[in-house]
Amino acid sequence: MAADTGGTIAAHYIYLLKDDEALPQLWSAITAGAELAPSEPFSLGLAPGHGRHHGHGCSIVSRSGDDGREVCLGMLAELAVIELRYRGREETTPQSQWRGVLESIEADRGRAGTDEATILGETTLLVAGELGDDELISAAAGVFPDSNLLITDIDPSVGGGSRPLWAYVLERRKGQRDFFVLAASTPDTLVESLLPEVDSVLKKLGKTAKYFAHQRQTIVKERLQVDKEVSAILHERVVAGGDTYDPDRLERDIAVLSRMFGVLATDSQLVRRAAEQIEKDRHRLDFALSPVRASGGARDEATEYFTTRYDSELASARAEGVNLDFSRGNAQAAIEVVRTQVDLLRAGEEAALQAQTKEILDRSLLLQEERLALQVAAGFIEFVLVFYYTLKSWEGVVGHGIFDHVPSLLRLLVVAGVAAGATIGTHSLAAAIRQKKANGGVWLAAALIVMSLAGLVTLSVMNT
Amino acid sequence: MDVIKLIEDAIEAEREAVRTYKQGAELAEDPETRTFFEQLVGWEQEHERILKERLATLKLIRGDQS
Repeated sequence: MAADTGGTIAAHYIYLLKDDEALPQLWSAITAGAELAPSEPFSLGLAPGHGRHHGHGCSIVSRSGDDGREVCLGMLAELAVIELRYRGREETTPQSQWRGVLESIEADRGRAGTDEATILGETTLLVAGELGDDELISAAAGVFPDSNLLITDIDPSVGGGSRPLWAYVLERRKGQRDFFVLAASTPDTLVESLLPEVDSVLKKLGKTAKYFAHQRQTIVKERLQVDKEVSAILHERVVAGGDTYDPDRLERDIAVLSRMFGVLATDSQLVRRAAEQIEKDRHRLDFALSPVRASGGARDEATEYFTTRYDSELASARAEGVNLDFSRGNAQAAIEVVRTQVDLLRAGEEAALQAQTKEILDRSLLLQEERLALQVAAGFIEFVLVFYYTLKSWEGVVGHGIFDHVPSLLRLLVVAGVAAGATIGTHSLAAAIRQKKANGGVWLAAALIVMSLAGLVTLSVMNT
Repeated sequence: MDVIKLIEDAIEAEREAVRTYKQGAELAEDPETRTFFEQLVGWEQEHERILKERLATLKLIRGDQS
């Protein structure tokens, strides 16, 4: 863009998202009543493929002839930048030109109805021809009293002049608006492309850092709350005792700790993402600044200020990540403590159950032994009774004459056979009824009884 | 649900609240009620501002990540 109304004395940049609905409204408000003229896109002065955005081109320019004001809409990656550029008359001092232009900027801002919530940031850059350090500080002090300047020497190859300076006006930040002053004899490359690119990265970094700082405030609160609750649970479980082994309490504590662990895990993820984003933007800032900074012992206060500021944000995000990992470790340890207590509770219940089972088995064994002894005694009594009544019955049926002729040993054997058969049969039959199945004892008893009765009858007949 | 959509809905809810409270302030018959509604309008507008700022930043971060 040609400098046909004198040198650029100020530029005001307004940054928005490209797809923001406020952009057309803002553009219309700023360019209302001005003559629109197309313009060649700005060049960054770097070879294509260098890796830079190459997006900041002034595609639409509004130029109002009388007041030397130009408006440009450019694109920088996902950002849109509305650039208001003011050109002055050479006969006045930089200070008086700046004062006049600042009033114009305020008027333009008022007309645009800038919505600070939607826009991503604003910057006012006041430009002078090549001034010495003292002259620049003196001129800036006249416009911004009680403010410090953070000076960065710019590489003469891009800044124009022998020793161009770029300074950040510290303590003049108004909301999202930053102020810079620039001393360069041929400032157009800086004003049109390099400084907006650096500035847009600064704005983005500022926005993301602020967003993550707000998130971090909530995360720190959550972490402190979790630490407090974990500490309380651990104290209660490990130190205080009480109803430590109450199953309902254990269940509740595990549920609470698991929820806390989940909160810390998601917070940790957020903080890690924040650190990655800030680090990425921080590298972008270094990259954007690289062609601007002069090398070889030159002053670098402005860029140092911003890099230190965002390095500090990065360090805070990383430190919070470490704190979250530590808290997560505590929550994990607390979960392990509660789980151990659950295991102990279960082990105790199992031991009690085992002791109970052993007692039941011992009692059962004793009962079995007693029952066996009773069975033996009952069997013996049964044998004796059956023996006696069989003998008496035999004697009664066949009479003394026949009975007395049967040899005693045979009598004993036959009657004992019947008694033994009856005793075995009784017990075997009882077992068969219990098992619902005939067993060998029943058949043996039946055979024994039949054989003994047959012997009894045979002996009776033989001795008749 | 996407967080951007959630914030957009929340902004709309804040705007609706502002409309309601403004109406309340207009209809209020005593100064105490009117100032109360105006205070509420201020709070809701501040909420809307915060939400819009967060929305813009989130879109910026998302745009960078995509």
